[in-house]
Amino acid sequence: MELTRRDFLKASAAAAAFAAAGAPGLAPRLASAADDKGIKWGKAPCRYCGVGCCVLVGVKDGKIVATKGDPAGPVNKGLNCIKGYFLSKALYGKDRLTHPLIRKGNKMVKASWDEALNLIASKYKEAIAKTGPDSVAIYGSGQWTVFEGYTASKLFKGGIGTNNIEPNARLCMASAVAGFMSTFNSDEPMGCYDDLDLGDTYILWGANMAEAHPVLFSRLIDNKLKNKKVKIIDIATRKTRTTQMADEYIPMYPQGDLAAVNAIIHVILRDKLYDEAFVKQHVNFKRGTENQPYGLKDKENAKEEPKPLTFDEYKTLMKPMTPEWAEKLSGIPAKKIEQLAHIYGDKSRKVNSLWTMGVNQHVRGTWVNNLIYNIHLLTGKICKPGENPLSLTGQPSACGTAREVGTFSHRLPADMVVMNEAHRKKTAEIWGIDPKKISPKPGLHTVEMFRAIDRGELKCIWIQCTNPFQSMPNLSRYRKAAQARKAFIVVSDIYPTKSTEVADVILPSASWVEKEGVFGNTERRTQQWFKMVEPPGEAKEDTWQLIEFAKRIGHGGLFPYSQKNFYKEMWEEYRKFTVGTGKDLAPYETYFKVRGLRWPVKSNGQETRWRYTEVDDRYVKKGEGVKFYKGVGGKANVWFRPYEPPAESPDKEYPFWYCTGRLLEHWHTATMTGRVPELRRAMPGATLEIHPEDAARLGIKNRDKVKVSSRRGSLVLTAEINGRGKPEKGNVFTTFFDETKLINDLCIDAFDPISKEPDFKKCAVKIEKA
Amino acid sequence: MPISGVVVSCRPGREAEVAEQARLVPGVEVHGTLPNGQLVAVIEAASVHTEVDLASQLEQLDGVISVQVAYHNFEDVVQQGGADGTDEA
Repeated sequence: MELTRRDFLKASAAAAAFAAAGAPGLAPRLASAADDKGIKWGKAPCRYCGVGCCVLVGVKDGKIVATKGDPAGPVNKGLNCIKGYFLSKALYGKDRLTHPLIRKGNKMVKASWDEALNLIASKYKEAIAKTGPDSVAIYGSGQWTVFEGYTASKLFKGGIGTNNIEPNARLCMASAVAGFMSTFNSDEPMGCYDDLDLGDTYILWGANMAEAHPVLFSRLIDNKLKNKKVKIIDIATRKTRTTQMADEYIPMYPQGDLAAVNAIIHVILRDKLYDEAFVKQHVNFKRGTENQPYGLKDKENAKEEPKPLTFDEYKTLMKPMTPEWAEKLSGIPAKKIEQLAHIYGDKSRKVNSLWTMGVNQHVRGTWVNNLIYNIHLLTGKICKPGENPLSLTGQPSACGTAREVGTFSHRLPADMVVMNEAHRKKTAEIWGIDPKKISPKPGLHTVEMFRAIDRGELKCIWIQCTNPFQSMPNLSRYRKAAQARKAFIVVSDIYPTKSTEVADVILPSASWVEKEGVFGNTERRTQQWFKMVEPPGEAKEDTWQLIEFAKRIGHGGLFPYSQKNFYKEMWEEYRKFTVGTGKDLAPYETYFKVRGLRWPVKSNGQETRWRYTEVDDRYVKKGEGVKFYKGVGGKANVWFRPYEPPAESPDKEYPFWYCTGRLLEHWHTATMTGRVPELRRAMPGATLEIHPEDAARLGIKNRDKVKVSSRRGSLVLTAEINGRGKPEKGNVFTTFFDETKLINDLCIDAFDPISKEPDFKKCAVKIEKA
Repeated sequence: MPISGVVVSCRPGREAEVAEQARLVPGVEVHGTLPNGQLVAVIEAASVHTEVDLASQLEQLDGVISVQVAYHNFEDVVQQGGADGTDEA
């Protein structure tokens, strides 16, 4: 029998699947001979979400022709989710941007790089000269590589002298950062994905892991199938694919988490389910500032002024937060809250909490993060293998770039902040600049940055790697401001988006394996990859774009890296920020072979799976057990955080809760996944999920057109009843990926006063048959 | 024609029944059932379009928890130029 190339490929496909399933011995014999014929494989982290799956990219004749789940990758162990299916194709859409474009009236015309960069430089220079460095800004993302974020931060904070640099991560997990910083004084989790394999109890707070983090959810399900004790509890406002695999689904009112978690803590204290010795040794008690504004007025500001508490004072404050009290606010029956408290407090159970946007995109998101940590700190179920709280992230380098490099308007690398003189001094030393160059005043946070465009205060903004003119809440205000040409807007991207639509200059970028890069995922894993294919046309990487711009405004000297060792030299400079701080990164070459390493990387080159414990973290001495060494006195903070209502709740006129989110098949604003026809077909446009009883009452049938209106705008969507997701009564849900339905027009731009992260999960709408 | 190798995770004890159903889907070859309740299948279709539809069909079979992709080759699709010849972004 003659064997064709197809026979070989099929054998390879089967072999890879057998290997990933843990049975390589069953693979067809043909496979080994076939696999590499003409294909060169390179490793990279997946381009899409924050899970950071390890993939192998197959290149032939300068094009990506195949992808594999990386069998050597500990995150996903050889398997990708459906978005991985489309990974490489996301680069090959017909409308890829391939040359710079400059606005001439209503038209965008082709320009050379020189023309485009000279124009940007002249606009920035003019604004800085006339209205000062704080009248210009850059807005990036958690999809920036470490190099891109580092270049932007150094240029704006250390060169131009403004802290007006923000990542879209402000809209995504700023509350997680604020939660980590206020509780542990160090960002990012103590645990890691191994906890998904080693624990036996998983409590999900408003997280649809099956769709938003499918590979991690598969790990959880694998654990469940192997271990009968494993229990998954899904607490949410909507039934999802996650619910289908959970042991228990507990419906909850929006904002109900604030009350429910407090009542769980009440029961833990009342029934003495806490670990007295752990609390005594590792915990301080604090109370923050309450009744802070929701940021609905421009320039409205809040200040957190913490006060210390004793354990007894804290217990007294927690007394009124009974399960009965919480039942009214959360809709969770008091008995259920008692049960949850006893599950958390059960010494024979290894309990993990998991959450993401439901907790973070919340007007009191920092508080809910604090409260979940409170439970784990009080019960001592933290810093132990298989037993931890884990804040999940959404973007591939939200952790590596936005958080670790510190591309927020108040942050510097490695958890440092611009407000702290010693931090500015250390930064200036590494950057080789005068410490006075770094402003001690935090820059504009994201919502204020876009409001400042509307107010005419921000003259120039450069957007890279994200799509704010689709993803901002209360969107129409910001779109109108841009359309009125109130600021000079530069957008670097790989496809046309709702943001390039309002740009004055569009720059074509290189993406993913068209450049060298580093991403950092949810579990502190730093992953490096090399360039594998050329970007199309004249597209250039964002780092190059920024440095060429820097040269034109007199800051080229900040980037003295050689052409030959460009990335290595920049990495080693950045790494200086991390060494000895508990956030230690390894020398650049270390990352070439490994499938990432979780920081702090030890002096012997080993990674750290669990932080703050002598079991694994070299910053904790033998005999110390657990030590929160970044905190004051080596302790973490338990915060008193009461219930406060959302910024807007349903009323007679707008009787429904409006919640937004995403689906398995689409990622972010779908500028990459929307280009892939299969993904569009599976879920072609945004729909409005509604409870069948609500629909019946309004005379709405499945697939009917409905008009959804909030105080900020209205749009027509197709009703979806008993579809993939099923919201609770009084709630509707829609997705933000569809650029033909700007659903964020309806969202309120209220935000958490501490994290400044907007609440995309709660506002009031009315529904009518269209 | 694109080819992919997938791992189908089944609810405990349902793998034989899922394998039987999966074999009836044209374009899907079941290569084996593993002791841990997973199936290995190869999907071959005229376009990535159809290939994904087939993967979705597998995911919707009663008894299936998830379908994950281990390997995806679309070398001849790329050679035709464009994403898969039908990309209308």
